Formats: sequence, C-alpha cells, structure tokens
Amino acid sequence: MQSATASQAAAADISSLVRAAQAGDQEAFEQLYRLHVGRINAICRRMLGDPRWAEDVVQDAFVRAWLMLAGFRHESCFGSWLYRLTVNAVLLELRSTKRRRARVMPCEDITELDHRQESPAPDQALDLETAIAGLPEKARLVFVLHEVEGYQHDEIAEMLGTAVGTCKAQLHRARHLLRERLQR
Amino acid sequence: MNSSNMDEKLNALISALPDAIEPSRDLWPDIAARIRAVRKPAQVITLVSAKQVKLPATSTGRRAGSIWSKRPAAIAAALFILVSLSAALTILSKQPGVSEEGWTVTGIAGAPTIGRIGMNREGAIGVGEWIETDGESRAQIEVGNIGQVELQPNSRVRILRAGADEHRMALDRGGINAFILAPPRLFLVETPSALAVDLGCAYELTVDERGNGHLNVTAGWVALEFHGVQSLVPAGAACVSRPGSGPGTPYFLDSAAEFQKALSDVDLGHSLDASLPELLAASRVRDSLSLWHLLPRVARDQRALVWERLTELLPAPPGVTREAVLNLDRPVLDQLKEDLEQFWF
Repeated sequence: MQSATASQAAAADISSLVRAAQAGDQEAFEQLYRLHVGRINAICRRMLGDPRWAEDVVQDAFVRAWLMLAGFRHESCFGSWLYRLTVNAVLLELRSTKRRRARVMPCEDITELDHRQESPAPDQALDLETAIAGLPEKARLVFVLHEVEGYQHDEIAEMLGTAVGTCKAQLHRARHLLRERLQR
Repeated sequence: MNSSNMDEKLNALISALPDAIEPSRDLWPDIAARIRAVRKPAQVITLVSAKQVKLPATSTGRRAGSIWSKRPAAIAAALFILVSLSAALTILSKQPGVSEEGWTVTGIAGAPTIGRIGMNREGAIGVGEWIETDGESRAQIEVGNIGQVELQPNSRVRILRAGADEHRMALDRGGINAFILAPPRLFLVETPSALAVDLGCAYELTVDERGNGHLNVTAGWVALEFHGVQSLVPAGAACVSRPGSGPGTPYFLDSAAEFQKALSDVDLGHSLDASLPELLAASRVRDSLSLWHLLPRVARDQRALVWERLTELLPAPPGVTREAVLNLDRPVLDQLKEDLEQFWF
C-alpha cells in the first residue's frame, strides 16, 4: 500500500512539474529531464547503437518536448508521452540523416552482424548491449522496440512504415544473430 | 547448447537489461541553452474563444472589465451564445470521427481569418472551422501535440478532425509547410487531388488553381494516396497529384531535367513509347525511387523495360526475381523497395 501511495505521490509530483513547465518554468522542466533522462537515453542508445549519437538525439527529444509541451493534455502519463515522442525523434533522425550508403553487406546475409564490434572473450558473459548495437539497423530497431520496449508488431510496422510480416522476419533475424553471438 | 536453451538465455539477458542508462555527461546545460533560444511553450486556448462570442476585445484579447459591469445585457447575450455554442459542439462531438478538441493558431503576418472573423495574434480553431489567409497574411497552427503547420498566403484550410487518433485537415487552396513528429498516419491533409499522409516528416504542400497538388518533402516521408494509388515520397523528393488521377510518380528534385520531363509525360500518358525509354536512359541509381513506383503503373511489357533498367543500375537483392516483379507480387515489391531505400537518402 505504501508503494502504491508513493507512486501516486510521484505521479502527482510529475503532473505538477509538467503543469509548471507548461507555464514556462524551465526549472520544473529540468526536474522532468532529470527524472526521465536515463530511460530516454537508454532507448536512444539501443535504437541507434551509438552512445554519442544517442546523446544528441536525447537533447533533440527534450527540446522537442519543451516545444510541444503545451499540447500535452494530461490524458496520458507524461513519461509515456515523452517516450513515444523520443521513439519518433529517433526514427525521424534515422530517416533524415541516412545517406546513400554503399551496399557493403548483402541484406539477407546472416553474417551481416557487425563484426567491427569486438567479440567478447569466451569466459566473459555476453555484453548484450554491445551485441544489440552490432545488429543491422532494421533488425536492431525491431528487436529493441519489440523485445526491450514491449511494442507490438503492428505498432512497430506502423512506426517503421513497413509490413507486419517484415517486422516479424527482422525480429527472427535479430534473435538468430544474437543467439549466434551467444554461442561464440 | 540447443536452440531452446539459447532462447532462454537470450530472454534472461533481455530481462536483465537496465531500464535506464545515464548519459556520459550532463546534457541539461546544452538543452537549457537551446530552449532559452526558443519561445516558451504556447498556451493552449480553449475552443470556445472570443472570436466566436464576437465581443469587443482589448489589444490583449481580454474583454474589458468595465464593459462587463456596465452592460449586463451584453453578458446575458454572450452567455446565451456561449451556451448555444457549447450545446452545438457537444452534439457535434458525439458524431463519429468528430472531436471537440481544437488547435491553437498564431498569426505570423497580416490578418488571417477564422471563419469570417479576423483573429487576434493568437486564437483557436475547432473541427469544422476554416482558416484563411490573404496575400499578406500567414498563420501557424499547432496540430495537437504532434507538430506545426504554417499556412502560406492566399490559402484556406478546414479542420476535419482533431482527435488523439487522427488529425485531419483539408487544404482547399494555397499552401502549407508542415513539421510533424508523430507516429505515421496520425496527420492527414486532404487536397482536391490526393490525401497526404504524414509518415513522420517535414514538407510543403500546395494546391494550385486547377486543384493540382504539389508536394515537396524536406524530412522523413509522406504518402500521397487516391483510390488505392499510393506514392511514397521521401526527403528530397517531390510529387504532383492531379484531380481525378491522384498522385503521380515521385521523383528526386536533383534528378536530370530530361528525366523529370519524361516522367511528367509518362504520368500524363503522353507518347509513352517515346517518353519511357527517355526516362529510363536518364535515370540514375537514386531515381530507382521513380522506377520502383512505375512498376505497377505501366503495362507488363513496359514493366519489363523498367525492371531491366533497375537491375542495370543495381543488382536485385536475393529473393527478388524478374517473374515476381512482373507479376507485381506485393511482398517481393516491398522487399525490393526496402533494398532500394538505402539509396533514397
């Protein structure tokens, strides 16, 4: 019961911080940033596979959240709203910064897992974060959104503008690549 | 270790991933500097606003208190209008697909009008209302919490839906610049020739006096749709839609002039036997955007020519066969698109 009461109080605190930030209070917004930055950084880092790039997008996401805060109507949890906004910011970033890449590796090649990532020594536990970062981009996005963040395939397909079947295939591919990595 | 054990081990590792990862440094100072450089979050103005009540307003848009105290009849009239409007809006909001939410509008230049009433610097627009600019005016519309639309001069838009699951407007004439950060298909713009579906993007959309739509995407993707015909337009590309025939073939703005001319002829069905070979000859790898879209839009023998050019430009990915493409096998066409997309950015 205490835990439920504490979480209700925390939600109320966040709600009042959001209202203050909506009124232009930057200190309140800073508190919201400090409460959420860890989770926002985690999703950016896993989706992008690059910690430095992720931190740039974290900044973009919070600036965007500030600009769009007026439209937040307290109908949903602020964290969920911010989280969804961040996922969209990452996808937008990927789409808008992608440049014509040389076709380095055939798409269907199972060896596509980026071997530039250093393989863990046999006696080390698998560094799953590193392995995720080494996945091909689409497989990584689907894996992170589905397996880590809990989105459904139809939601992911909509976000990525692709077919549900393609999402499922990418997830299968990602898991296959990660299992291979586990076996090494 | 067998496959099942490996899956279990992988699932255990996934479950053990931390929810949060702190950044390598404090990002707040940079964020704070950036948000200081922009305006504070716009205040949401409720739908029933001064413009509908038609009360005299001060320069700040607030009703002067002295008038309220001196003219009780005005208060009664205003309240009557407010109640009537609220009742009408309540009825309207109960119709399927209609939301009672409105969008905030900011005048950027000149004197935009909402309905037939000139707005103050800030106002609100609700479902069913239209906003119009003349040759001197521009306005910015906050589309819920998903982005902004700037209305160009000599333009007119109507709000068709402003719900959490869909934001839809109609662009009757003129142009808009949209910047939307939202899940795909949440923001839609109807034009006389096609429906523009936001897939997470920034774009300019104009409608000329003949009802032709001109789309120019600057970030992300937009889909133009009409009666089952869809054109996917990525950043750097444009697409023209025409009343009755819907979206044409998208093309990159940096494609050769002769390519664009030939594509326009192909879209209009002008001397296809001559224009299609010209188009194919002038195409580059990046123009596979247009070639991919042409595949289902031309007859089978012409489709074969397009396929040959595509495979000259880029080897087909594994699993994508000539026969499947000529038969317009949807999953194969999708697979081909996924492979080509990397050259469209």
